[in-house]
Amino acid sequence: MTTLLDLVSFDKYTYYIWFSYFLTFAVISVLFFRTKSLHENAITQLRIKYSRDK
Amino acid sequence: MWKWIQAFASPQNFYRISEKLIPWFLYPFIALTLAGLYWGLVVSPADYQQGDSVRIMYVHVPAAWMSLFIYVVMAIAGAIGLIWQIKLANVVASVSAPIGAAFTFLALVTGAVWGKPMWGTWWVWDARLTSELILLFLYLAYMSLNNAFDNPKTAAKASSVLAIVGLVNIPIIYYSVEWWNSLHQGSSVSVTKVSMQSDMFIALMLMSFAFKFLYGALVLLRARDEVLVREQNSRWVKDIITGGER
Amino acid sequence: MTKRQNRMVFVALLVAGAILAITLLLQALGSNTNYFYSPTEVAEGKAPVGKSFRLGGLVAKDSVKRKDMTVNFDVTDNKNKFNIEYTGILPDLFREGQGIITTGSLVNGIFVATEVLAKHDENYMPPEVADALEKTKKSEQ
Repeated sequence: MTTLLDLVSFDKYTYYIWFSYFLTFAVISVLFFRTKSLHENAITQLRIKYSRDK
Repeated sequence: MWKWIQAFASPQNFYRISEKLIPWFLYPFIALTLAGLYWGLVVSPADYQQGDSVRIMYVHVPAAWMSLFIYVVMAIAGAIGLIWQIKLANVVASVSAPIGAAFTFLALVTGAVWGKPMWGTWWVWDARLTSELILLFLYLAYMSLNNAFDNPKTAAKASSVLAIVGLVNIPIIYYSVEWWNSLHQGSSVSVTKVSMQSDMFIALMLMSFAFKFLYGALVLLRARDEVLVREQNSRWVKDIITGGER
Repeated sequence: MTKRQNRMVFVALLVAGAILAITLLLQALGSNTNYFYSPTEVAEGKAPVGKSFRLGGLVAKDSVKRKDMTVNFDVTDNKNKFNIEYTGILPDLFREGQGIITTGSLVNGIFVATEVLAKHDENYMPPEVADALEKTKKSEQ
């Protein structure tokens, strides 16, 4: 257990470092999820338009 | 020649080619990120002064570089759209803005998290930090201006002008640490010199290339959908949607 | 001129105008944009008198004296130096030889600080390398 703890602890900066890395990947995830929802919105919007045109 | 370029950058061509390009950005991004995390959190030594907090640099500096890089791409794309009226350039500019804003936000917050233990403060109004904050506002202004018009042509014109004028902020951010006495340190990495130990430099480079590929993948993905919506009256878009294919 | 050339000129004027405006603005701001004053600038009387301002320089070697929570040290730019008095927590980068920026005002020749910030430089290296560099520096002298 100590080895795992050693791996994730960085002296007195542990929280600062992990906060930065988690925030970075949270922001990246948000970018990807937003991209996905934009895609779904676009497809639905176009489907509705074309079904009306028929 | 312009006709030829315009044809090549046609929305339909882009839609066809970009689908094949996306994996070439997505997989390098994943590989580089994993390598970057390993180098940044495990291989890299602690710094002689900053200790382990140097590891925050491996996300902070690449994010800050991206915030500048994406802005330059956005302004150039905006100018191309303005001068040569290439639709695709306007699309690239408008989908880049939120991605650039996200990286600017990251650079500011991770910088604050590093500054608290190292400098002794979260924030100071020195030239570097202030000009980077202005960059965030420029991105937000660009986005709201782009959304303020119903006509995409008018929106592209107005927001491109803003992006081009805001371009002067980029050299100010970059040289702020040399032109003025600032709390922020000077650049460790430039074309002519690297004042950084090699494992630290590798970690920094891996993360910075990972972010470049991430940007490429996100721009392609978002531009594809934007192109579909903007070209919704074209025959080929209708064929793709009603054919049930992405 | 074609329409496209017209638009090119418009973009060029836009860039030129923005650069001109910012250059004039920065000229007008001048040294006001400097975040801190050096000890020499303060000695020359460039810093505001009787008001709080920022002083930046290196912490002089062997000048740091601690008494309870109060720290006394000299800040120098190798030409002039000022004695600083500060009560509070110092940042992790604070040490002798380190660049710092401190906010406060001059009281009878002593700079009474309300805040001490440490400045980092652009050099990144592991402690062993820093030690080795220090040794070669000493052996060369």
